Amino acid sequence: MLKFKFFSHTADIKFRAYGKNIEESFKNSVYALIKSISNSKIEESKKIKIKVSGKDMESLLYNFLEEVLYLIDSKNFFVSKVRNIKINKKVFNLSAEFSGDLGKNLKIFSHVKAITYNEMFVKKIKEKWIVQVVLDV
Amino acid sequence: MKKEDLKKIGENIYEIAKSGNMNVPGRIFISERMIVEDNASEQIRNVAQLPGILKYSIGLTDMHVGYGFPIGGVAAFDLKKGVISPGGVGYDINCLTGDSKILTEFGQSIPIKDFEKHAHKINIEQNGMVLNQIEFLTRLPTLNFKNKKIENKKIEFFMSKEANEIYEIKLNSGLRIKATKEHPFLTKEGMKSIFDLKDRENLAVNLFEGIKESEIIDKKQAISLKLLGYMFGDGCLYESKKKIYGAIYGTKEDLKVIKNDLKEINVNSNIYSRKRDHEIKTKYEIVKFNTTNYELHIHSKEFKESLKKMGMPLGNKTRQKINIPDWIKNSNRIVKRLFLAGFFGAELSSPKASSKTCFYCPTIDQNKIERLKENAREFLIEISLLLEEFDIKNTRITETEDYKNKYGEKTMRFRLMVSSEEEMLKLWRNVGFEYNLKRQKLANIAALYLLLKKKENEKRNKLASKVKEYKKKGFSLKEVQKIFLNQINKRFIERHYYENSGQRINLDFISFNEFLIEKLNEIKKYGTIFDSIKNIKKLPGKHKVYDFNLEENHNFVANGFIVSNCGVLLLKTNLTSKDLIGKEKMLADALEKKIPSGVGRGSPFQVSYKEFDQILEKGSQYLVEKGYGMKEDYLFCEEEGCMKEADASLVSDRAKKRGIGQLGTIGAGNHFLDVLEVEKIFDKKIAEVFGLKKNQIVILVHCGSRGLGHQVASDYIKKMEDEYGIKNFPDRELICAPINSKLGKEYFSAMSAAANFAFANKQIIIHWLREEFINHFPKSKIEVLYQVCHNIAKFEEYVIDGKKTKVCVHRKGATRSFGPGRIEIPKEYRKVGQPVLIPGSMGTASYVLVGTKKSEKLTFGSSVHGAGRVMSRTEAVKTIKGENTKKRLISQNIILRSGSDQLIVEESPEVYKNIDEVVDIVENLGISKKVAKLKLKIVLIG
Repeated sequence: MLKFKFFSHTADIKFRAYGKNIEESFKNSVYALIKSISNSKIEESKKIKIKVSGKDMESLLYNFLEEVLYLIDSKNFFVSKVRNIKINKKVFNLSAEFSGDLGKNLKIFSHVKAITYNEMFVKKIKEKWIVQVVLDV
Repeated sequence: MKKEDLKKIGENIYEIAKSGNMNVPGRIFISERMIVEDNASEQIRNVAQLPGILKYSIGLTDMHVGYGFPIGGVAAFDLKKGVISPGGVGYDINCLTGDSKILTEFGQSIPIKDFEKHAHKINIEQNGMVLNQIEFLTRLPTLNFKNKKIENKKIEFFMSKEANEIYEIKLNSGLRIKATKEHPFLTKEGMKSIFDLKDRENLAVNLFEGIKESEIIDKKQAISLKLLGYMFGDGCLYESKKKIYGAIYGTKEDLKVIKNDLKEINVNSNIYSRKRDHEIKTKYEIVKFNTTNYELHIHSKEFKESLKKMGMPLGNKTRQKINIPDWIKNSNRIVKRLFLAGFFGAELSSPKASSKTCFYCPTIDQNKIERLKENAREFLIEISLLLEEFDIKNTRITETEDYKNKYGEKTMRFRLMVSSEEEMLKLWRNVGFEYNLKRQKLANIAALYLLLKKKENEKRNKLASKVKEYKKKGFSLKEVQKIFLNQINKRFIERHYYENSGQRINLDFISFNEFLIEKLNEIKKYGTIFDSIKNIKKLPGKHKVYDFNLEENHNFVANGFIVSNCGVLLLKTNLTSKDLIGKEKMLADALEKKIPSGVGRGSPFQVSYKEFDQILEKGSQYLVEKGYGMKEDYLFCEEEGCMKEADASLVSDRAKKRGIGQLGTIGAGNHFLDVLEVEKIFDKKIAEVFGLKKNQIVILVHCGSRGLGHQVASDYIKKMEDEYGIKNFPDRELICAPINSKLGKEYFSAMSAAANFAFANKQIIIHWLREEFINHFPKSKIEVLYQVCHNIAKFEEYVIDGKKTKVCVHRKGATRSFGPGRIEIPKEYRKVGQPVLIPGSMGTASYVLVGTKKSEKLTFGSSVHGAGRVMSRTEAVKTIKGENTKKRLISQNIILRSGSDQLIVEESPEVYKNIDEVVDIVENLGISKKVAKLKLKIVLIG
């Protein structure tokens, strides 16, 4: 299955990420975000466990992706793989394990300034989960 | 933007005519060639609808689509009536199709599309200016999430647009609504847009729909009518010693509603309580009890007189003839409904189950002395005839003998009963109860119950006839049972297969009493009842959709994303292009090494958290104090490099962590550092004031507040969502707080801190540039020419209609362009106007312009901030080859240092409008004037 796809947006970056379940679509959205920032292969030299929560699915996704940006800005850490992602759909919290590398080894070409709620959605169509995000760059 | 929307009113000036709910027209400053099909003009229109907007909603020459507000958009707002909105004020209009009926406070369901007819324009004069405001005469009932009560709120905005994607939601009860995908609906988990709704999710419903008539009734008349009806039941008006008294009886809660209503029409009243012993002789026994009774006394003599005039009988109603006033009988249904609903609030029995799933007939009980028997019957017949107008025809009158009254007179009891569930639905949903919260609640629940019961019966009837149909086709009983295996039990099929039995509700259908408990719990918990979704389907074609904004959302500070204080800094050196010859590559490498992009690597400039707080509060000024620059560095900044309202304690630790390691970094994307040569001087005199000469080397830095600014925005968006909910914000980034609220003020202080971070960030870059230049050019001097902000909302004074007025100007991707004389300009430049810095893109020129007086008149002191993007990043990556861009730069002797090829492509000159053309238009318009053209020598990007 296609993991993610970029769409046209005049000033910013827009993508959709897909998954068999919501966890997979969230995971793939991280890969799309990282792809928007760097093209390099990222080693898995470091592991970080994260937990985020939200008020609904959108804010959970927003906070989850924002965590990725936060790790870049505050720890120079770039995510390579997302593992053990668990989402509680009732209380909107999420835990996951990131593995990745420090940015000094990478070619970085775009700094995503922020995740936005613009055009954001998390939805299930037939058996497929789709999330859409516009990144402010 | 669509060409046909634009009316040319001057060279490079187009107007979007005021239409719909726009408060002002739109003004777009572009050339004909630049008109492209996009949504930017729609955004200009949206901005024009904001309250308190002054003169025009402006789009500058470099305009392109942004979030809500276009990039290159400028709008000024009146300080009292207007809104402040950092995120660009943008709010999408969404939502309901035109046939959606909206319940008004006086019990009418009006199609949302007709509300426009009821809007009436009023001109408000303020500070010498006339503002157009649209006022709606009707208020709408809304649920207050905090106290879980229904309150009537004024409509502030009414909006409409064309939408492609429309969905229809159908509930189990058969209620349905059409809306756009973003339209929020109230669920048990708060507001959700259609996309978030789960299968069978519960949506809040209100079964009361009132009547269809859309004429607007006068508030005073509406309230008087409701009250008159109620008093025909539980009130009295009497005269004694030439004074008139008016009293109304009811529960304390209901009397409070009446009191508030009376207050609305300036009638004073008060609620009194008294303990009373009662002794009532019924025909069975003498009943004794005591109660605390509440009564409301009307104080206004004038109002009591008017009730009398409206037909309120004086004195004891059981001992005199009572008729429904003729004028009500001859009025429209709006008047009749208000009277009846008021009367029913006092006199019509509560919805109550008579068996598991059936209801007692709603009944009006009237007691009268025997000799007025004829009149009692006449009165009930009048009610019955009125009900016919609401299509409630199945009524019956009965009479029985009753107790003797305190005068010893024989009394009789007359009843008007409404039978059949269909009629009950009409009675509860269309006429309803006024001034009786308990019965309103029960009627709402009972109506939902009846609808669900009806749907269930319909389903069973359909199945029953299907069973008979299959029998005719020769299917055996077992075969038919197999077909309907999952839909209904075998016994049902058997019965309808063999017998001609009638249909009754299934035995396992919930009893009304259980249903009632369930729904009363929902009301207690959420303030409303819910019904679950049956299905949602997409409807084909285009639809016009409408939406409102209600009162609570008025006068807010919207807080979105203008926090990065992204801006441009121009440094002048004492070097010329000759000094640079042969050293370009070396300098480029050195600068790339010295000035980090920061992304993923951080900055070598490290400070403690304590010091970082100082930076957030004092901006450039703190760093200059610490020796990282000179006083002139911040004196030549907008705001002198420090927003005084900043408070570091209001910036989250998370935001600080995203910022502390990034001081002195450029960031990536469209942020850059350019070394340029002054190629051409247009205005020698002003160039001299700015300190610019031909062939001089200058440095242009474009960067913002990095991750910190965005984290601040993100943090406060969350706080505001908690405080105010996202109910009325289709675009979640437009969440806002009132400017004077605690949260609003805190946000402003945190945002100012983020702006100071951006100033400080550039101060470190200035410091490093000086260090590096000295290495290569020992005699070099670097001075700040000017630093401007691109994304900011500021309070500024303008002359509007001959009067000095302080307004709040929003510049989203626009540069301030003040002409001579403004106090905000450093005094060295005050005589000529402020420098306006326009960076080009890779391989194109950049410009230094000067602000003008005309910009203050035309564009609230604003000018363009760059060329303006025309191609998306994805499109650029698809169509432009990085190699070609590189080759072209080499051929122009421009040295490029960049993180990646992709970035080169994404920022290629082709993706922007032609800067020379943009600047020419700006000069023709007179909103700023060309001073110097800069030619690119070295560009550091990402």
